[in-house]
Amino acid sequence: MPIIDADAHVIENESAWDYMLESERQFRPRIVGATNGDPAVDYWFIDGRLIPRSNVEKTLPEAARNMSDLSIRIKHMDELSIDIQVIYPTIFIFPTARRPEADLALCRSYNRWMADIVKQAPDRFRWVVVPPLLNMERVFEELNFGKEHGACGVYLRGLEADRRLSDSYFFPLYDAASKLDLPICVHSANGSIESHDFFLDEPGFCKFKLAVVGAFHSLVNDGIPERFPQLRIGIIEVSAQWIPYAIHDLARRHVRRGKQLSKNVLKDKRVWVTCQTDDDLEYILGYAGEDTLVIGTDYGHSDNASEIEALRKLRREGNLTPQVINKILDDNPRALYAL
Amino acid sequence: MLSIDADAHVIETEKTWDYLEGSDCRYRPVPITVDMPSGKTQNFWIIGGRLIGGRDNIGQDTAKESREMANIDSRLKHMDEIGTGVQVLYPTLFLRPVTDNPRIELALCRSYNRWMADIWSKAKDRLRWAVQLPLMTMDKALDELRWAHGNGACAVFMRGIETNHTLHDPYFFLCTKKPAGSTFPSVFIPVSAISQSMRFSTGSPSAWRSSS
Repeated sequence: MPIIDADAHVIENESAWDYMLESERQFRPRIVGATNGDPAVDYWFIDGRLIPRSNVEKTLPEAARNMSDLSIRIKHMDELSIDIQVIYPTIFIFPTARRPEADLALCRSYNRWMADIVKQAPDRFRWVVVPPLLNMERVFEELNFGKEHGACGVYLRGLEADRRLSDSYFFPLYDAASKLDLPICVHSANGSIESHDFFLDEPGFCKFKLAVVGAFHSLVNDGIPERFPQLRIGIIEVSAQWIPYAIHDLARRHVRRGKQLSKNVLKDKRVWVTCQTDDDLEYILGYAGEDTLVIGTDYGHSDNASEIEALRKLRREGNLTPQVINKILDDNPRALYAL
Repeated sequence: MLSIDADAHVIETEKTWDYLEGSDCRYRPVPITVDMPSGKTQNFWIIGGRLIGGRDNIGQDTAKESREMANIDSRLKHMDEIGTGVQVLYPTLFLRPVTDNPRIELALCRSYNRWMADIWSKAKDRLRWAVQLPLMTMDKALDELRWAHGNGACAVFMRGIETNHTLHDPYFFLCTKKPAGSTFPSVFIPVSAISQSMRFSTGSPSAWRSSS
């Protein structure tokens, strides 16, 4: 049975921006550090903003992290018993661009860089395409490019373009994703400069994770799954512990409106959620059901959600039945990403 | 054994603002009802020229005179019926940002707190309350905290975000300190963070507007 890592990362290097058009070179991100050489000061400088480069698991070889040598990464995946990794970006965890033209240049270049990487081993790697959401008229074109080049999802942050994800601004995106059979994958991240910067000095729970839980709530509460009946939704890297809380809240709000939330809300709304091995999975399964949990390693990162051994650990130490484990490792991510 | 309702509410009325004094009277909130484009009506307060909502989140399973504390006996009778010994009372209006003007904030907090103290004085063993502090004016907030502590308050009401600060911001540390030279005893009172935020759109993520 294949094992699918539903949330792995690439750490972008400068070659990610080699695909910018000549006219876009002014937006090329630059690596900046302290003049005194302090290694703790390490940023991308993008469109007038500093983006940290610190969330990196340095015990992994650099060529594996930035995918400049896939043989090293694949060898490591084999050691970890991982057959397929779905690759998420690192730089776009933060709000990257203020200007639409910078947003478009960054997304286009990143997507072409990823397409070039993944085509070297398309049976081992898939990826999520990053939509230029400040340029909605260009989104379908970019998603289509991704679809034709191995993308299996659309990357989204908990807040985008200073809007909640249920805002009608995003309806063309959801329409395009539905037509192209690509799920929207809401990753622990924040695309709202205002919200991100308000929580700048907190460790990431408010600015990243709560934004994503809020996105799930908004999407379901505002009826997006019903409005786009082909749309699949992934909620990525915020553990699964929040599921009972959010579903409980949604159920109460539905009752107040004279409606009934379905018993298996995640399955009915076509929502999949990455879990962690230290989640209380037996409890969560009571709310999520067997068909909606997936799991990822957060490969390449070193943060609260990173667990390089997660997939093997789930099989080895999990208290779940083999049938459920197989679903989390294979059937469910295969359904989410249409692999 | 006593049953304590740790989160009950009052619905503010015009009576709440009868405690405004002197020049603060110019800040008196005005209730209005608006016919919305949807065909429904919605109730607001006008405060400092802004429309402030929140007058429609009313439990219809409670009597008007009871939820607005116009008849304390009615409230106590209902508490008896549902087996509640003590209620800790939280506001309704202040669940949302009310003003960004420190003078208006101070005036409204003072009036609300005195209204609450009056209510407490009529049933001291049954009704306790959370004080609303004018956090944009920290020295006044400390005065209000001390006053409220002597008038039945058992908690400090706070929202998830206050005065454009997260609650771990050192801005709020003063709240826990006893002023130098003060003869006033230290105040032991919990801070109760409630699930709302105090940020206006000028400083708030527009992304979250219209969520409730």
